[in-house]
Amino acid sequence: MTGLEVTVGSLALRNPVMPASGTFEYHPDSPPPFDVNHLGAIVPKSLTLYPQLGNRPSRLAETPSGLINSIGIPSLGLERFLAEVLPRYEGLTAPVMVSVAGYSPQEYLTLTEKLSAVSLVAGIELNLSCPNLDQHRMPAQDVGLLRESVKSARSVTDKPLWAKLSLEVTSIVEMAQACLESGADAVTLINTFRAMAIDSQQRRVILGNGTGGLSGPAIRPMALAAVWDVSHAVDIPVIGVGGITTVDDALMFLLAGASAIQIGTASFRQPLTMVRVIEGLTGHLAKLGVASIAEIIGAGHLS
Amino acid sequence: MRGWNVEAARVIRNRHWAHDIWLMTLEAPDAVPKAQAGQFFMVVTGSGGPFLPRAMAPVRFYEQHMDIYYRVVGEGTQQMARAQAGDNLDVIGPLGTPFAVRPGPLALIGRGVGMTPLLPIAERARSQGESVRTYLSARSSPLLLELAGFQQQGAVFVHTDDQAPGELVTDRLARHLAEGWRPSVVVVSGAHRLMRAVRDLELRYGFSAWAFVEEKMACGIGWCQGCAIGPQFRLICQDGPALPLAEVVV
Repeated sequence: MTGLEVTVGSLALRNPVMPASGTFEYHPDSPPPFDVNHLGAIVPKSLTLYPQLGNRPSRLAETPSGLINSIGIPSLGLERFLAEVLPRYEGLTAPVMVSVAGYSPQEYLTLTEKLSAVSLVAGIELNLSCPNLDQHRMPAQDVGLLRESVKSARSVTDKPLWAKLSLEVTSIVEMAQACLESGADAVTLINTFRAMAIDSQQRRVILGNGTGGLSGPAIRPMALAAVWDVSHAVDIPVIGVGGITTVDDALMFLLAGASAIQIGTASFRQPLTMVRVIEGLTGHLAKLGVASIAEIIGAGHLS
Repeated sequence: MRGWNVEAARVIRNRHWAHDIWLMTLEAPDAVPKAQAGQFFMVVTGSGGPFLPRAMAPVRFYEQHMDIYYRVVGEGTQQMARAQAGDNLDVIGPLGTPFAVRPGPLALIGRGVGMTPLLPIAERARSQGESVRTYLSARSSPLLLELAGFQQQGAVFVHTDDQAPGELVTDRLARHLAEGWRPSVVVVSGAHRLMRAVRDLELRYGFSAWAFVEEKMACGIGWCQGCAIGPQFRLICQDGPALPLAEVVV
């Protein structure tokens, strides 16, 4: 026991820190310079049912305190993911939460069903909120489609099922409540915000797709408020994500009520961010006067 | 790509070179000995600078040191220019696929600060016994970076905009090809105009042409998949930074 153990619903994690989908890749041929088993979980980039190349370049625009991306989920498709990607995770002890992005409730069902059948898949994170897919209604912005998508996935798996939501809605609490009622085990809050940038000298829109999704420290206070709101209003575990860069950021999200946190854009600046936050949390246990980090989850209070 | 690391590199020297070009020498005992010709590093520019690190192709790796020319264009490189000897900057690397020098004469074409990844390739080719011709282009002669270094590896042909406006350094390569010289591999870096010119020559003469390419890059390590280029959306940080020219100039 390290004192960092947490649970998200029924899923036990050795610590509350994991990558945000799309910001970390693991390949045993070019491993990162840290032990990936130190992570609370591994979340690969979202998988689509069929292969797709992703969006056309340019895919990135830097902003003050953040990054706009229009990657668009390059994906090998389910078949090749099962054959080529999943075997890379064999032998790892960190649980693998596979992120899936469907274009319909039926696709969420198929992806969840096929992936759940694989023993090394610990659970599924439904990416219901990618802002970068063309001609695609985002389920996270349509409560009917959201319910249908989550219910479809729930109907074919007993494994942990997380729903990743967008804060670009009228009420994040209502969306999280809908996920709870549809059978989700947890909600991941939040995805990026639709955003764009223009090169004013050349009058050129920077991203090849026109718009993208804003991530990084710029969105952190909004993500924190979403975690606070949902964890105080809906009886569902929350995984907090949005601009978390330091151990203090991680503590804020845990205090606001997140059972676990994801680190994304910060890993692009410093690939050791996740392991440094884990080390930092260990160091903070004594400072916080607690034996277990779980004791501070939701312990933030109004003055 | 394998074996990258994150290291707090020490700034040994950092000085203004000419116009908007600076030269920084970094000491990174873990990372530098692993670096091979064609690879690059991400340099984290320090707090107060932009959020993302900057991709840099060192011109020289020696023992524990690397020399990096950089053009000061925005906040990130301004932040780099403020670094003092003794400061630490995190570097991530070495990154990208090393450039494999193949048998036969080699032609290198570079412009401005974009010529820097070519010098390690020239040195590598010479150490393998290959002949090297280098064609360098710049706005003016102080920006013909590492001229002596390239001259040690073989014949060098130069062009500057202020001396011969309207010409391209690839005109010289075209003349050499017309005269019968045949490189087996041509590598071009630093200007899209030169890449297009080399592509025309490649189609005519049939050598194997490669280009060092740039796109906005967030991580450099294959995690973000942001640095896609060409119709196949190849990732510069993993498949490159040198890619077949035919994939880059369409």
